[in-house]
Amino acid sequence: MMLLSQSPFSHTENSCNWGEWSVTALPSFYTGAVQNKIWELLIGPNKLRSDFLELLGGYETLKPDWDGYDALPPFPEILERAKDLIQALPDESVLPIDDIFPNSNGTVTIEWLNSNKKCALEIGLSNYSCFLDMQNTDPVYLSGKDILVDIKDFTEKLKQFLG
Amino acid sequence: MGERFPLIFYNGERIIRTIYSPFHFKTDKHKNLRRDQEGRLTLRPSFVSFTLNRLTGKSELSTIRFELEKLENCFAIGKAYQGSSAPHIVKDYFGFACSTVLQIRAVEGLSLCFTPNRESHPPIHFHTDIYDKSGVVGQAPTPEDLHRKDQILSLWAINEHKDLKSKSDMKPPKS
Repeated sequence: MMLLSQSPFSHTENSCNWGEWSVTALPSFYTGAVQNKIWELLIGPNKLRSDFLELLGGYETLKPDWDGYDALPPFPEILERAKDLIQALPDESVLPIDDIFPNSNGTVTIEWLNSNKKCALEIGLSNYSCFLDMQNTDPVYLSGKDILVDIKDFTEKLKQFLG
Repeated sequence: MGERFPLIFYNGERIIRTIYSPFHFKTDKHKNLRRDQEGRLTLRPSFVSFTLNRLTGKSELSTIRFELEKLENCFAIGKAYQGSSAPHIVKDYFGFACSTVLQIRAVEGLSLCFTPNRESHPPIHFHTDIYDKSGVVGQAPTPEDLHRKDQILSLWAINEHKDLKSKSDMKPPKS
């Protein structure tokens, strides 16, 4: 298993140059929390946080039809809310973020992955929805109006879920 | 059969959707495509984000009936829609995601409609929309529908352009 396989910038090659870091593959027993801990020690959540903010900033420049299928650019209010969420999340919730991407209807999704567990949160203009899927068990569904208002409850559930 | 009765879809028909890089794939911060531990590329769930068509009021996913279209025309259509996504990001035609009518019909709520687009350049004579429940612009779907995107994404297998020498090379996911 790769050290970076759960990170937002993973590669399948045996090593990965990322900025000043050059990280090599780790033995397969480095999984889940151990993997995240090593990732945290090497890169640090603050660096990840700033990279995610940069990524979201890049989405501000998307033009209409950015996906080839008439997609709308992400709404600025949604990008701002996503940035505020990234800023507000505790370190242990930033580390397992796997991807952040825009959707064709102007919303933004954040995905967390940890082993066989997946959490996805889609942020809309006046709502959000989320599922936590652990495979082999029934998924947990969450929704509400403003994720920033519900952030305490959300991060608590995410923490329990990701273990 | 599809050529004689274009409104009838038979279960074994392959349905394709053009993949553009980088946004349809998981990428790193440098927009390099990420591969999983088996070396496979991973599509983002946004690849199956249905777009609300204000004219029809339906949420649609644009596809092509592959059995009826020439391979060269599929390439031409894919290349025609590549271009600029942002000032410094170009969406590149990569290849196609392939599924079958049977697999699409197996997902509750999805339906197919033959919608030729002869006004586009190049014309897409075998354009087909997959319809889903209507979404709302700028709003997140229900958590159940968000989760369902993963199921819909699993209907599609990635076929890279360079591997497509003939029509038989286009592979849907194994059922």
